Amino acid sequence: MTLTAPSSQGRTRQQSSPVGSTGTSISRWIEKASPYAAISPFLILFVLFNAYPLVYGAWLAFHSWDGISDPEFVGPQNFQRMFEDPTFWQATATTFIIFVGSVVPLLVLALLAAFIVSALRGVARAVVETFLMSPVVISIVAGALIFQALFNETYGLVNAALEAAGFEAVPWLSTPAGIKTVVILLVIWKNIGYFAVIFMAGLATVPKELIEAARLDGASSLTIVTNVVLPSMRPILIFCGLTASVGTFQTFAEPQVMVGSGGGAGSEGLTLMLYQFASSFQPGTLAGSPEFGYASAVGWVVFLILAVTSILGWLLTRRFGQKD
Amino acid sequence: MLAIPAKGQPGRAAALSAVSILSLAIVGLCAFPLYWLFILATQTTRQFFSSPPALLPGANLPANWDSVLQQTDILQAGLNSLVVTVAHVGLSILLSSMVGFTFAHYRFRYRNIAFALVLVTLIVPTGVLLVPQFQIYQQLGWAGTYWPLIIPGAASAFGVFWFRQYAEMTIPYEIVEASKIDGCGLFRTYWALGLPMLKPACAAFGVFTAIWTWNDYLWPLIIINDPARFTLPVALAQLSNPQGFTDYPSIMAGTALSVLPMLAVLVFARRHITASIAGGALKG
Repeated sequence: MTLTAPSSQGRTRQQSSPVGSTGTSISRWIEKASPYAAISPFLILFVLFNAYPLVYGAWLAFHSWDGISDPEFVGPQNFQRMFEDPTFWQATATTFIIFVGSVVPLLVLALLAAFIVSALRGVARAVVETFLMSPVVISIVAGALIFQALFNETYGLVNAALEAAGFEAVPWLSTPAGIKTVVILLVIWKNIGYFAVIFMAGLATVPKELIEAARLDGASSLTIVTNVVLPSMRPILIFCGLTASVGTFQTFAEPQVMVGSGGGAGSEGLTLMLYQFASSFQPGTLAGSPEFGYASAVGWVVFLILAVTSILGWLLTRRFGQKD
Repeated sequence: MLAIPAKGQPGRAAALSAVSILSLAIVGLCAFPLYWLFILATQTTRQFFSSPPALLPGANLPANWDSVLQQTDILQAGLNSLVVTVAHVGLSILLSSMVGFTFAHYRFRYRNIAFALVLVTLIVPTGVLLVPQFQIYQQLGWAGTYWPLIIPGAASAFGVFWFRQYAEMTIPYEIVEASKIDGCGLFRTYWALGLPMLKPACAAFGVFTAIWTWNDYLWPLIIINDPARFTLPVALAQLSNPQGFTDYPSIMAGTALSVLPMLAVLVFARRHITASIAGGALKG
């Protein structure tokens, strides 16, 4: 769609238009300024709530502040303290485990679901899609409460089923491995539908001629999938990989609701986001008074880890992509 | 795509059964926790403790409901959520559509730079902005109010993308140009011409944003300290009891009520939701 600038004919019309008797210069100035006025809400909000906080946060990271008295410059002390705090490293490890343990199963299952649901039509499709998406539209708190009940050590359904099958009850929410497992399962359950929907839309964009041609050549369905469909969907796969990574890396609500802001006994469920949250907004759980400078430093570390991971991941996909 | 073979073609029966079984598996896995939620909400604590656990509805819903209302005022929280959601969605539709429309149909000198800024907001994760944004809200006097939940996210990058794409595809430039020649300024063109033509996009975006706002947990948790002003997820989270022994049926009753509105939205507006999710991703 080409945009053509107002031609001289347009300018002439404007001279005779009823837009103000003050003449063309003011009305032309208005015409030039109005796009900026129209996008100004966005620009103002962006500067105030995105750009400025980013810089402010970086500044805060080098200060110590309890929110009441003045911030005190402490240089790299926040970072030193962070790297010397075993709880920080524990939170980092937990976060990585959750990230690694949930992203791949999540995307694989979502892709599978997308293939299956794409083969459905009509009422069947509507019904299955609705069920597929129901975990997505409920709040994360609701999901966490359900899972807290499901995996309740003594009375939860999961342990009841395990015991009925002859296994031993698993202490789900009170051991390090248990908490992480439940969080991972919750993250996967909650988000399959979201990514499945994206993949379904992506599947629909694969050129049908390519699939037809491959079928005519006698390719099996599996070959079609790996050699035609998936490469076609590369941008979407990469996008979902990034989105899922950024999301799971900032896991917060799942452990916070299920085992508390401290990450449960021994902080086994503490993620980096929870660690930051506890440092600033729930000081009783980790330190004494709120430490906004420290929390800000943690936030920046999370950001940097995410940035590095994303870039690495993107480079990896480029390397694999060059094979075909 | 990888469709089931048509009638009479080989492999149809096998494909049909495979797809049916797998579909049931999907439905089962996704829906079972919710099914159990509603069952549990109608049971008594004794039934919850029984083994084998009861999988059929009980008759204890009214008692559970009374019990949960004593622990946390869910109805008030629901009302609060409604207020925040309506305000935020309304403002968001207005601002995002106006900005998106402008990017789509108006040339201006710094357009590309401005759009690059939109992209930047997508890259920055919430975690790094948590503390500084909180402090800014404090300084603005917004602590404890709903303003941080309504205003900052109103011109979202997703919204701007969404409306720009929609405006480019469905509003022909000739119409906009005709309106300019007639002497209409940008705002008038947007209000009288663009916005009505963007209605379907507003619907999809509105539904998606409404769900997201209704379910938002992190910021309401941080900002609001007065229990009377809690939004629904925050009020619900008060029911969590990590220690293990607690009145689960009543918690589930509260949870069940909290998920009903969004499930209803899903049933009635499914296509809008999937359009928003997919459209946002495919353009990303």
